[in-house]
Amino acid sequence: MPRGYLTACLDDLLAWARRASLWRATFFGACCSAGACGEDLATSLAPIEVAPEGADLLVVVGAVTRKHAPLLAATYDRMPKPCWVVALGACASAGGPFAGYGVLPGAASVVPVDVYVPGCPPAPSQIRKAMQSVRDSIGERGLGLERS
Amino acid sequence: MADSIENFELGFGRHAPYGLRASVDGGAVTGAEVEIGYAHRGLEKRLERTAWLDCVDVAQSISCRSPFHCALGMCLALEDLAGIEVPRRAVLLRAIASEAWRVGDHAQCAAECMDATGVQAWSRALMSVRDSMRVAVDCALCVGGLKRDAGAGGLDRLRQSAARARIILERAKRFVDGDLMLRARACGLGTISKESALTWGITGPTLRAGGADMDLRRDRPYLAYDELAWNVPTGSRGDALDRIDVRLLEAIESTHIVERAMACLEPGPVSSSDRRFMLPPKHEVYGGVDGSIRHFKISVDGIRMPARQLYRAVESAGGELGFLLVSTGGPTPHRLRVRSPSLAACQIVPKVLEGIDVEDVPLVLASLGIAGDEMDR
Amino acid sequence: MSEADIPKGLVDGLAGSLVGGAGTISDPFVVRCGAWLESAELLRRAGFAVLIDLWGVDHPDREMRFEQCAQFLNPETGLRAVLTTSCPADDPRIQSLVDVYPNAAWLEREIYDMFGVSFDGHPALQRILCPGDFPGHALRKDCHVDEEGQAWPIR
Repeated sequence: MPRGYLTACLDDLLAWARRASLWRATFFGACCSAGACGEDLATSLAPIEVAPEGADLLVVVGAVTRKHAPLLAATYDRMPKPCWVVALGACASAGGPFAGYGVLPGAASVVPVDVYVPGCPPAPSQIRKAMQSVRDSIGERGLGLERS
Repeated sequence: MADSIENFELGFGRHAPYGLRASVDGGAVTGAEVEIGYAHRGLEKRLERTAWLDCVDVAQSISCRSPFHCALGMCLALEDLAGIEVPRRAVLLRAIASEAWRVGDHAQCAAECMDATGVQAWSRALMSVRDSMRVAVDCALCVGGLKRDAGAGGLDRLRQSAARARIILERAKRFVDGDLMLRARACGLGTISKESALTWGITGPTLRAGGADMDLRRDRPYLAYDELAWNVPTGSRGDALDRIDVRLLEAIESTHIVERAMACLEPGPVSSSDRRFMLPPKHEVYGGVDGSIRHFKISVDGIRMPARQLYRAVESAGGELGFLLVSTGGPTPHRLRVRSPSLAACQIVPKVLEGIDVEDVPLVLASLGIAGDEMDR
Repeated sequence: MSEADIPKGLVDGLAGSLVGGAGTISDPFVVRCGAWLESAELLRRAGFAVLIDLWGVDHPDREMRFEQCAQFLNPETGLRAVLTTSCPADDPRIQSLVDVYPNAAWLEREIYDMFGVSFDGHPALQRILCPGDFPGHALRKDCHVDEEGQAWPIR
């Protein structure tokens, strides 16, 4: 192969790198079927699980209660930006069946959610599709675009 | 020089975390505070607005570890309240499912203990036991029995899963008996004596690990437990190792109960013929006017249960899971209290953690088997 | 053994404070509010060493609105006894059982959180399940925080 230079758009290069190396932080709320999703999360496209300080994907599993909400916000704040958030399951997406004083109507009340995965528990195919959506949306976001 | 770990939140396995603040001096915990409520979904309030027949389904979401035992306890309490007799086949199928879920729950707890000590291979093997038992059980509870009968194929699958589970659990027990590293770590760790457990209201495997021979299935029998022959394993020291041992032995015993109960199964109905407190079967709803009207009235007005107060408890994998029902004769419960075994286990955490090395804290907490969402409801 | 076998000595011992009841869940020992701690101590001395559960019930139509119940277990005999008392809505205070049964600590905190009943002698009476800024007491029949439209700020 001849020596030379590779020229590419910086956005694309960074997006390619980010997409291929998503490190996940998981936030477990009150989930009845968290165990059922565990294997799927691990075998889908974000198998590496780390602490929030080193992650770029936050997966919120289960119902987020009002008492737990500040901790979710703190977890999101600890993550370096840009980061992506997936709300896994009916409870994290919209509060699920727990309409009441305890549970927030979805993780979106606290953190900006990119992908919602419906289901209780979500089927493995839905989780894979969600992860694929995340990877696709990484490519769309430009370099240095910060989230408030 | 005392360090302090502030707001150090622990979540075990995949269920709701509770907050733990520990102060540490030279590597050992000197004091700890626990904060719960992070999974409080207001289920008791919700159940006060839920029609009687729907309470069973809502009860399933109380605990992620043992949804079946929660639904079972609720069913038994409602059947007691209504005075419904459940047919024999449904009773045995419920007992089979209850033990199958117990196997899965104990396997999960043991898997978390193995995870805490770094034995990944056994953690995965035991979690696979849990997954296979959960998948194999098909027992949809409703007031008066089951929603549908278990097919022969389903029962065969469950029998095979139970047999496979027993092999893995027996090997896990042999591993725990023989592994010097695990024994050195867990022996004498986080001891809860029988007296201490009773004082703090702890029930279940943690109490039995301390030497107390108390099990609701035998002491206050429900389902068909008084007809099936089985043993209650107990420990002697009440430390983390005993708790792991008791859980593994109980899970092995449960696989035997599943087989014995399956041997007693005879064909028959799985739903009570007492129609006062149940929805009519579909063929009557679609096939006749009476059934259709009755279905409409029950769905719209709701069923009224007799005005009474009662308490019904089952032995879930964590201990005594009780349902206190107060009925004032209305369409919904006046008060429905869930007595969670995990609450007592969590309350003793600060006391148990005193003097423990920080590295051993995950093992002690995993061995207690605390289910956060059951505790917070 | 049935709950009806509660020892007669216990009933006699409680006689001063006992308003009625047989100690079972459907017919619990009813004691006066001021005799709550004393009755629990009597049960403890009679061998009911385990406090299985402590809970509250709201009866808004009664003058003594907040009913408080406790279930005890005798580990030697396996017998269970249920004790209950009530306190009025304008002064919901009951003696704490923490000195007799340590696990009453969190159970009483939960009753305080859900019903607003205070416990005299409790070392750290604060909310346990709901967040600190929760408006009201959740399990009271007149608490409708969960209905739609209630403004309760998030975060």
